[in-house]
Amino acid sequence: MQLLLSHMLTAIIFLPLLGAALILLVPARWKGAVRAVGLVVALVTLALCALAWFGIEGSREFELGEIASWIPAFGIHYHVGVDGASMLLMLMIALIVPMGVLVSWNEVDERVRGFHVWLFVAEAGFMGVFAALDIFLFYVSWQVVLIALFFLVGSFGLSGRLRAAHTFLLFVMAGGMLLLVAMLAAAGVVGSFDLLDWYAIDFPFAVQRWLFLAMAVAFAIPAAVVGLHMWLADAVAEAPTAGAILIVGGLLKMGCYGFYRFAMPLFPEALAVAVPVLCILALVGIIAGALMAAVQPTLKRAVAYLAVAQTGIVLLGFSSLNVEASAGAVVVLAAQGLVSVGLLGMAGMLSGRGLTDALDGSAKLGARLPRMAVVLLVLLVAAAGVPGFAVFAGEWLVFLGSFQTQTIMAAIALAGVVLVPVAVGRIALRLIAGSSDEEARHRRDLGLREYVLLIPALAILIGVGVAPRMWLGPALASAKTFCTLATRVRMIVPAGEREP
Amino acid sequence: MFEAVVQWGGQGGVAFVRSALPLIVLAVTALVVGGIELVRPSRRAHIAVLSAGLGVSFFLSWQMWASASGASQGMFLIDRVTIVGWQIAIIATAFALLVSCSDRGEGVERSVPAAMLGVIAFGMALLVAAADLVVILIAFEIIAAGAVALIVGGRAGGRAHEAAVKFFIPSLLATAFMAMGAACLFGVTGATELGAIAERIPECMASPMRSLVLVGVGLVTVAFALRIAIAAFHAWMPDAIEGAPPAAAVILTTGAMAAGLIAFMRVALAVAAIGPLWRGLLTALAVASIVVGNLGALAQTNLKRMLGFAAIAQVGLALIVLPSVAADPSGVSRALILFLLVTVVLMAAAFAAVSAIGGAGSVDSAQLAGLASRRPVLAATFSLILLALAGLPPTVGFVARYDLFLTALGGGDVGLVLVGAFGSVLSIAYFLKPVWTMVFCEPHASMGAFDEDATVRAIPAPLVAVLAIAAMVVILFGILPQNLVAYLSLSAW
Repeated sequence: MQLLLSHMLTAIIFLPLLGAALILLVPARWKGAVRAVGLVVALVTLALCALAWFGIEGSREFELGEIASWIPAFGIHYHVGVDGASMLLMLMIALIVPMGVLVSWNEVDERVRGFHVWLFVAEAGFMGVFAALDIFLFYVSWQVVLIALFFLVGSFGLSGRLRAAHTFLLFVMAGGMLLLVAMLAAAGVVGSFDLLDWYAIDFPFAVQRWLFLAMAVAFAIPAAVVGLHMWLADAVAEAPTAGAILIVGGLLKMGCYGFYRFAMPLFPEALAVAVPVLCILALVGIIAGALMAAVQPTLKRAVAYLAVAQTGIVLLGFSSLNVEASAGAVVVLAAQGLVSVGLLGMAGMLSGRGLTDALDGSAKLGARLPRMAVVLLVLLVAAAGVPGFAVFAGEWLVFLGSFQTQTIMAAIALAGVVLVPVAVGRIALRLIAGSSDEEARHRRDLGLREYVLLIPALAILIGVGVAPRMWLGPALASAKTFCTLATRVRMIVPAGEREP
Repeated sequence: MFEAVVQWGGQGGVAFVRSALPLIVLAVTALVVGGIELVRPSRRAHIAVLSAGLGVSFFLSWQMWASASGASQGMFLIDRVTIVGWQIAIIATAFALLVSCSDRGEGVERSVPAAMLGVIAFGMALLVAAADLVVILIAFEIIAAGAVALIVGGRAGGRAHEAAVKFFIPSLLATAFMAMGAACLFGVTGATELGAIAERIPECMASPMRSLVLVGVGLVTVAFALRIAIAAFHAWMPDAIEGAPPAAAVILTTGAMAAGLIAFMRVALAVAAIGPLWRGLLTALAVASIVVGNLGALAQTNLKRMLGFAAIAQVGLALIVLPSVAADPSGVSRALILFLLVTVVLMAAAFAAVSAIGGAGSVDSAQLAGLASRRPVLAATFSLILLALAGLPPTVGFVARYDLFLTALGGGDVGLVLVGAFGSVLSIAYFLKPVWTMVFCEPHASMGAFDEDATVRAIPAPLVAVLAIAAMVVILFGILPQNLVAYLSLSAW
């Protein structure tokens, strides 16, 4: 137990890998056993993450730190540690993976073993990304996530999966290479791969410009910042439900986290120059994402575009360089992850019942599957940013903070955010409304497995929305550090007046 | 600076012979194997003698690594880079030998591969120990002669002969260019030894002889480019690889290339005093090879041709560190030998996998369809090797590429690294395409006959050995590269 407590993050990162190895030991024919082992592993990981979440103090420092020599010749360490923001995101990943296992219970019936192996490899990668304090470890985990998602989409997706996986791979790998070059160049400047060493250094402005640009593009691709979001809708629509869940709930969050942890706090001077551009991108993302979401043919695609809008809100929160706004953006990340996962899970359940998730008014869930319609409605309401849900708590903070530093941008963004409920309303109407017909109520409504899948997510969304304070503390502490680092430039005397 | 790298001077003959023992063992092995071939061709005897020779030589090189002092006898230089170069050459030959043991094509003269591999091994070992343009020339010749015989391999007519011709003509040209280049440099500097050339180049560059130096260096560079398939002198490579038997393909894309690059690194250091012009030339060659190799590989459907183009791209990637060789010899030599060692293992394994799938013939990527369900272990191993070739973590391919990029960035070649990264993205596309086909595509009905064949035939044990070793290297050193990196760091200049 003592050993576990002192190596909590290592346990969280490697448990999914261990689970993948365990699953490989189960004979492929025993599909039920594979699923059961997968569920147990996912739940144990979740338990560990919850333990870690309550175990951290939520201070401004990285906690649960572990460091071990890995490749001394390159100066590379296995260095992990978390603050409130990264722990929150890890908790979210740990929560959506069991949802992914449950939602795939009946959906994936061939190559069940391979599916679960990739699922857990992806989870381990995500945990590594969020916990890494060493750049090399971060990059390796990053690529592990991409490869695992590539196989999940390409191997287990729908009819258009090949093209979608191709596009996905092209985009994210191009970003990955850019990230590699930027990270190597930065490591060359610092002479170390430790993120804490990077934080301690002021990069020269000429270097900052290029490194920030490279990293911003590299992170913007997986974050689906508008303009680089083209891969997203196809990948989400063609992926298996669990793959879509990991893309929207994990990969997008990973890209945003890259901004929060690397690009912005490391290169404050370049960031100061780039803030207007980032804000405009955020605005365009919010408005375009909401508008696109309103005209999509299927629920999955609509969720993908809603995610583009959410990325815009998050980007606005980070670019405001304000503690409330940044902490709010982190909460939006986690909460929006849960909402999207819930919605995508519903889309998967519809497909599993032989219904489509098409937004053409043919679903008529209100009449056919009333209980499902209620849950869907609650999730959609949460996605719209209605008070009482976690998404609202985050968005509220984002706007509260951004009005202080980016008043005009925030005002326009607020006007844009109104479009989100419009889009959500249309989705709700098209899916739920409609009078009952001869087919009415002959299909299964929500079953126990699906309740188990959905209730915790809903409970957390509502719980955080009603009582956000107890959850916000660690995120706020992390945001304080972020803002201190990202606004370093404000404290520097202008170049001309600098003392010799 | 050069003095620090090359210790010229009065080492005794005995000490030199002792440090050159692995090379001498390889020479004797080549002679014995060749002798057996003349007297009484016997495949078993060949394989036994060659294996013994390789083993002894590797053991000796391992033994003397600790005491290696940069012994030099004018024309030869034996430092730790040389020793690692020998080890790379021995590993490449061993892999090629294993692959050749499984070559069961029609009309194959079974004893030829081992005999010729012995000759090539000696040529490669000579090349990495060469500190003189004349020795480099001789080593080129030995490798070329062995490789031509290996490519023809006793096969009657057909693609092998065509491949041999396509390989042989550029080899002849390389010899000619090398001879002319050496003559030019000898005319200017009065020496063919790299050390002496390095000493005299600064003064020659200031004199009217400048242009002759440039011509000489240019000719030598062209010779190397022809020999190790640097673009735009690469055209022979994919054709030769496609038509050649697997063992020849392995040795040409691994050991011969690695030995050539190590020798080229010595030349690059020796003439580094030329300055920006030389850096520019190296940069241009690197960019050309990366672009040509990757774009070429992208367009291929034949796996062997694809690997041939990929080999060109890898040479380009290795070249990105050479412009900084004078500024950072230890970093550059480490990055280069790490990359070469890793690439040798990976490429050999890739060809072994291709042989395991399609025998000695060529394999079209469509033939891979559905391999993952028919032969999951082979497909998984091949996928792993391809991922490593694409340089994705957590494989050893990533570690090698990482060090390469980092070293080039340290030398300030940001543009080159960006080109290399761009090439890496392309390489992910074409290395993952076979993985894609194996895992995601269903076999076509028209491939039925082939499928039957592939399912029935067991993979020959030597190929299993190559694949197993490579897979272990990929994973073990991919996750825990420390020992490998430390060993090569200590071996670097």
